[in-house]
Amino acid sequence: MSHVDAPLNSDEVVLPAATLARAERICAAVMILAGAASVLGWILDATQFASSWLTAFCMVASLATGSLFFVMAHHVTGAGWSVVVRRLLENVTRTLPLLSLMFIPIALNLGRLYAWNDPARRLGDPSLAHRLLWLGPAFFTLRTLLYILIWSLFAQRLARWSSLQDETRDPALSTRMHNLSAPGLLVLAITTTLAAFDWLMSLRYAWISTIYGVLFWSGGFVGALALLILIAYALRSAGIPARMITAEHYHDLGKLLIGFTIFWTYISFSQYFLIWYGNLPEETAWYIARRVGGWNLVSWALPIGHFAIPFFALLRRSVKRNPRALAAIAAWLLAFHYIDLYWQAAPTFATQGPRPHWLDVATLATMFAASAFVFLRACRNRPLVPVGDPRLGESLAFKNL
Amino acid sequence: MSTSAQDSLARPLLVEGGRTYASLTDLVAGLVERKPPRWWLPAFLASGALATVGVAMAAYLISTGVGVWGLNEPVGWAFDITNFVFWIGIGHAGTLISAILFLFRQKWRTSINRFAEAMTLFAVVCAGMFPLIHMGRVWLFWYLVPLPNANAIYPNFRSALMWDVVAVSTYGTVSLLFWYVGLIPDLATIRDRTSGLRQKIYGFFALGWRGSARHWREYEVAYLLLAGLATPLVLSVHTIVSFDFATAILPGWHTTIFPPYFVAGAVFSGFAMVLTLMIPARELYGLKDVVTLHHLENMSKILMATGLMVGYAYGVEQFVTWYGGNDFEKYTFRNRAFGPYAWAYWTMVSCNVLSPQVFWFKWFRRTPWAMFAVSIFVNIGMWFERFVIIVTSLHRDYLPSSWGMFIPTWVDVAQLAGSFGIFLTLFLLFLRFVPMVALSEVKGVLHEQLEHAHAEPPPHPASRRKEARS
Repeated sequence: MSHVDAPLNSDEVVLPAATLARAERICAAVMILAGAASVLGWILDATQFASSWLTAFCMVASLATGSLFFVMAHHVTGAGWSVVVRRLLENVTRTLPLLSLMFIPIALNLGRLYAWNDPARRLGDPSLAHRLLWLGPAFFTLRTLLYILIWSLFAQRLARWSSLQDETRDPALSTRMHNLSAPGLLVLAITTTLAAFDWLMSLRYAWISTIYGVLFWSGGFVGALALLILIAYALRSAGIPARMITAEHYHDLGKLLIGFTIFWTYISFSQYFLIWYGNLPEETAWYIARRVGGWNLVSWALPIGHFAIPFFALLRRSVKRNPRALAAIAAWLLAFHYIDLYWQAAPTFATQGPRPHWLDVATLATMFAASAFVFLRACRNRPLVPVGDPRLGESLAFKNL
Repeated sequence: MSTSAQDSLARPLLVEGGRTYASLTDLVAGLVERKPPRWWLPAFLASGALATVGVAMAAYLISTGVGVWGLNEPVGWAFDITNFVFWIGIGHAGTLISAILFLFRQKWRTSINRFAEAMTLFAVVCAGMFPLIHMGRVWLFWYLVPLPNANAIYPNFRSALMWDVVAVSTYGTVSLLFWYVGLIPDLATIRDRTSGLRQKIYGFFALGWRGSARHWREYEVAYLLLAGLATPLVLSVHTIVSFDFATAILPGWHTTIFPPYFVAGAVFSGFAMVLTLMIPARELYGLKDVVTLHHLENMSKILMATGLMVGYAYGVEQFVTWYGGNDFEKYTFRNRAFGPYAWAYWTMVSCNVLSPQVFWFKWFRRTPWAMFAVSIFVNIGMWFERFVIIVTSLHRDYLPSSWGMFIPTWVDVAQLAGSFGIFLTLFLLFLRFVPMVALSEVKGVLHEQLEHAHAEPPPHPASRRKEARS
């Protein structure tokens, strides 16, 4: 078998220390600057800060949980082709514990973010008493910390076994990762759903939608795929050999990207359509709030930018196999994933139309820089592919028909 | 180190028993060419009799009126729509196996796709029957078809029932095409192995297939395109079926998770039916080399995964109903679990959510009779799921003064049994006259397997590196 003749050496798939150190320095600098700006924003306009911070928080959380989903799905299905990208995803999931720190500003601003935590409303709205059984500030905070703890434990365990396999090359570890991932997916599905209900759906506490957890997951998974493509593309320019992630792998990632872009559209449309058709005031209010002023434009931009444009762009085989073109579409979709979350969160605060604010940029930059820092740290310690995986050869040699 | 772990990671053989191309052809084509096994004719007569009952019940209803069923206000939909959704759901496994698993490069699907696609077609036939019978005046069916006519009768495009007609007929058409395109090379194989009238008939349906490189090229393109077309259909058909309910503002029906929940449930029930039919068939026809335990294990894994998705949907519905605090919704869900139809609800939960949990254990995933038992539970559970959704939401809605009960009549029950008769009759005919395994596709898999065996043995680069180091 020819592929065994050209295995990847462990030292080929490690980023040079100088490159890593420089990237880490940049991340640290951005984190400090943007973090300071965010704190300043908090002092100047706390509500705007809270709104921007929550959106950015949901963005990084959805990307990290989406990546964790990919890792677990990879193990459960016994996939071969995706072994070469698995380590990158594992490194993204190492940012999960960071969410607990990022959650602190949200926990401190619950009153500004969530109407259910407003004492005046509690008196005026008898239906709220029932909801507070679930949505009390203490229970809410505790729950979020619990979700983050669970995700972090799964991510840490899977990453550790994967590192261990680099050393020992023991195939039994693959079985262990498989066995942990099956119940892991179940736990991930339940916790992500509840997290989406808590963080985003409860912004308008009177509004409920049973599909909301699936919606959050589908957007996050598209985002995680886009992020992975961008990371792979960046590594190529940082000197990682192109035969680690070939056109074949980009092709498959591109197929998944178009598939789940369609899936996100399907889920988003189902929610919209059923609420529109049912026409019940307590449900339509959520969409009516997104048709006020400039929000209407964003509501139209989503099906076009998050579906139509990437859909047609990704149809061509040659585009999916061209790393640069695919990375461009991935960047576009990642931006639209943020717009999607912004469209879900911000209308609660900017009721007359979108109010883009420098804090949106500052909070997102803070979190991305902090996450990138953790990601780079994880890259420092281990090769960028799971060199001990028994299916690495299969993945390297993988060809689309 | 751990050889057993390595063995469990190795890609399993998809064709066992040291089969060659020739012995594979003899096995599968032989089933069509030789006389049927002894049990076939009695089975065919029995299911034919049951099918006749179904036809007779339909004739009775059409000549007498819909009142022969137990339907009445407030439960205007019961067995008929339950059966419709049940059968349409069954069909989804075929399309999932032939289209989605194809796109995901799951090679093991080749042994079962023909079988599952045939099942899809017959399930769609059974499903389509029920809304027609329910109309009572079946001759007015053309009201649903957008025909320009002098009386200005035109379908109501805002009705989900109208979309159903479009979705199901599209689905039936594409499934038939997909199945038939896949059949062409195999029909040609049988044509070339037989003589006389039989050769003429199979030759007619083989459309002049000669197996040239050009034929194969066109065939592959057609297959890929049909797979691409059929994939959205897997999602769309049951999504639209779910719209029949979710667009209404009835508690228990109007909830946004319905579309993906129905799709997962459809695939779940379809896989259960594939297992129900496949496990006896591989036993009776000696297909164990082609449909191996590994195939059955994969199917039971999908069964468990989709069962968990259905369980997730039940859970989310219950949780959000409690969290939302709407009194009508809350009552509906309490009534489902503890009302007069609680037995149906708990049948559904135990069959759909609890019974597939045994597949966490490998023994159950590799023991055919245990799998068969679970598949029967799931068939039952998925029928009851639709019954629970439809009947419990209708029989007690907003006004207690308009509450009522649904009790099926003997005609309801006989019509349901009859639909199984029609399904099984068609299926037995398929087993008798059509190659039940996609020969040309399995040979493709066998080819890779043989190539692999000729190449250097160690499949794991890791083990090889270990050797190099030591």
